[in-house]
Amino acid sequence: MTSFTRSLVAIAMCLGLLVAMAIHRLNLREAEGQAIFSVSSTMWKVSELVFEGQSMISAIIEYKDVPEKLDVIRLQFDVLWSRIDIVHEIDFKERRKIVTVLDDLNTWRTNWDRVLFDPELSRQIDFAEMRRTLEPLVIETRRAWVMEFSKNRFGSLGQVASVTETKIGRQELMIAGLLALIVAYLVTEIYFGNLANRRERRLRDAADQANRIKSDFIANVSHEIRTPLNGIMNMASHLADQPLTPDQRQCISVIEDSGGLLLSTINDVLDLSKIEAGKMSIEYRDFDPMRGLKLARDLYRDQAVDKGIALELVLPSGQLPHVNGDERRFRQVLHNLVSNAIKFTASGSVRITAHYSDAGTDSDPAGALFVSVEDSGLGIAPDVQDRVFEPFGQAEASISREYGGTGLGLPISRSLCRAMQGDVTVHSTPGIGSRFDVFLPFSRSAAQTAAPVPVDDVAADAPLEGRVMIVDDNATNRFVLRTLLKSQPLELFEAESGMDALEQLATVDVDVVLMDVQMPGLNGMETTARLNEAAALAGTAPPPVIAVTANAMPHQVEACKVSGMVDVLPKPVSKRTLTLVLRRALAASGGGAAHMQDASGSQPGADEIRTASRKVER
Amino acid sequence: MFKRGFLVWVVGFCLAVSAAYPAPDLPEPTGPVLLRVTGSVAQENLPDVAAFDREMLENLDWVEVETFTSFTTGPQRFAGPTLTSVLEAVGAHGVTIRATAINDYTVVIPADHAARHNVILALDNNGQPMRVRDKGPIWVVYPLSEVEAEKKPFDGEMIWQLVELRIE
Repeated sequence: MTSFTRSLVAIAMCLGLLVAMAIHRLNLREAEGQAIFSVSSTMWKVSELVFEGQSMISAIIEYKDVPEKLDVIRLQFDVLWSRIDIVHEIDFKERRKIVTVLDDLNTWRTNWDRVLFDPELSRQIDFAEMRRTLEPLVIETRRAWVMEFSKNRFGSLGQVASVTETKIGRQELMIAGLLALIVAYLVTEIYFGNLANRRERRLRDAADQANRIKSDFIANVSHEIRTPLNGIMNMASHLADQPLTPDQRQCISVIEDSGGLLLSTINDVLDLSKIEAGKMSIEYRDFDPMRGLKLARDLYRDQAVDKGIALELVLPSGQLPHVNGDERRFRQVLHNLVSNAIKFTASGSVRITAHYSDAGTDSDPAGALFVSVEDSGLGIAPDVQDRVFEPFGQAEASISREYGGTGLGLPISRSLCRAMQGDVTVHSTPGIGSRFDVFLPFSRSAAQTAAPVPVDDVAADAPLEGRVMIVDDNATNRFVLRTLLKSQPLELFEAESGMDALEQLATVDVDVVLMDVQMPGLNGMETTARLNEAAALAGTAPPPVIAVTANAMPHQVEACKVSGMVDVLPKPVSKRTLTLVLRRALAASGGGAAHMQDASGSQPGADEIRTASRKVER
Repeated sequence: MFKRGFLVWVVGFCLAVSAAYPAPDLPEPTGPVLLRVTGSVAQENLPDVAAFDREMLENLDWVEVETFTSFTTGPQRFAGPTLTSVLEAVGAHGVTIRATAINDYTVVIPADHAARHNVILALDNNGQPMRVRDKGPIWVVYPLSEVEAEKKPFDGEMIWQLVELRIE
């Protein structure tokens, strides 16, 4: 039963009760009227009987000696007779006295009827006897009447010939029944409501549990994939630096492309699981949106050219102001939309337009950044336009076979935009093309200063110099890092465990430690904490520790920072990022204790990974 | 003067709008008189009264109805002339009927009840003439169903042992 029908039932029962009560009330009033009528008519009938008895006696006295008036006596006798009948019909119940008198009157009239209407006997009627026998009966009737219905028993008179009593009783039963029904209904409603609540809570708990397990599973799988992918990507990148035949270079490029694709898919899945777990964090910072737009154009230009389509960036209102927002997320959305547009466009063009609009009101000074990505591709049928924003909701199953992809880009983009109080919408005509409109309520940055110099630009070609310790229980991982750093004139140390590292560092001074997080025995965070403690005891500055981990979820990054690590390198580590982070750490280490603030000031890791992977995607 | 003139007009108006029954000549009763009709009647066969014996009543619009009363148990088969036919026979001009029983008990019956409720002046019950002891000689009966009778709508008007109707 739906709650609507249930409430209808309840209302119907209440209405029924009201109607029953109203009817009951009316009937009570009617019954009262009938009781009064019954009392007065009973009184009337008995008094009439007494009166006609008296009249009978008077008639006897008056006409007993006038034979031609016998008819008058007979008539009076008949009238009395009818009065006795009428009183007889009253049910006097337990009132013995009046019943007895009525019986006597009956006997009297039967006796005298025989005499009075007999042609022979009526000639010599003993009127004296007739009067003598009637008089006490009349007196007795009156006395019985007075006694039975004297003041204290008057109230009970209503019971005499009360016809509606059973009806009233039945109605009261009905009302009680309805009341009981309503109470029973309420009780069941509450009981089942409770039951449903509890069941719902149980189901929700189970669903939450399942979701948590799923998220954990995805995180674990991505971890498990990222670590070997780290090896593959880095080895490929290393091989690409070697002198190779064109054929070998082709193979390497395939490995890099495939690895990059795999990495971006894993990143998407991780993002989605973060979104679903509500762990999506948005970091607001001043940045120049132009940089992201240009980067997107540059990144995908080659791909577009390969497909023979134009990719253009249009700024109808000229330069864009610097804004306050999450640049990384902005870029992610942009890349998703542009790569999608190129993927689904066979000919024509993909056009990125952007403008910034200041909201006109004083109450809401924050403006918004509008970006549209328009293509001349397949288009999306109107009935499935909403579905493209559902996870794994590519409009048609055949699409995913033909064009590949997980179908996660758009849902992630929408979730990201919404997390930033914006949105992304689609306007599309099948066969003509699609336009995705992004709206992000980023305010103009307070100072029109340039955003921090992008990490890409920091990269210098100067060789890295210094002493670096690699701590990892996995020989392959150590080998990977060592290989990546081989071209640099660094002095490298290796430790197989946290304990090993601490022991070595007690005797050796290094400039930077690259620390794996997940290790048997002391893990990376514990090792870092101990290292810093020991340094504090000795009154020396500890070497900066950079975490190298596949667990790159935000809370894990946070945990690393808390333990005293200055930076986090997510696996798989690219040569470029590793070089970058190391360069910064070495510079900071050289500058003394300032490295903590410097390191926390920017977070190149994840962004770089993404940028790098996109580059590889080409 | 004005007052009297007004009164005359009112009375005249009332007489004009009240049912004016055509009045054939009324024969004189030959048997015992059962019903006396007095008051505003056009036909009188005895001084100041239109008197009916049983035969005269039988010659009016005599009907038989099966009905219920709150004074009796089960269906009753009453027979007698319709009140309307009695009023017609006497050329009654009036709006109310004052009905009186043997013992001078009196009730008032609106004249229009006669036609509206098909009132009959019952002389017979279940095929037998009613004796005085059986609420005879005449019982004013309003034909009713059992359910209707239970509500006693006309118990006040259903006078028995009727002997006189006074048209006013």
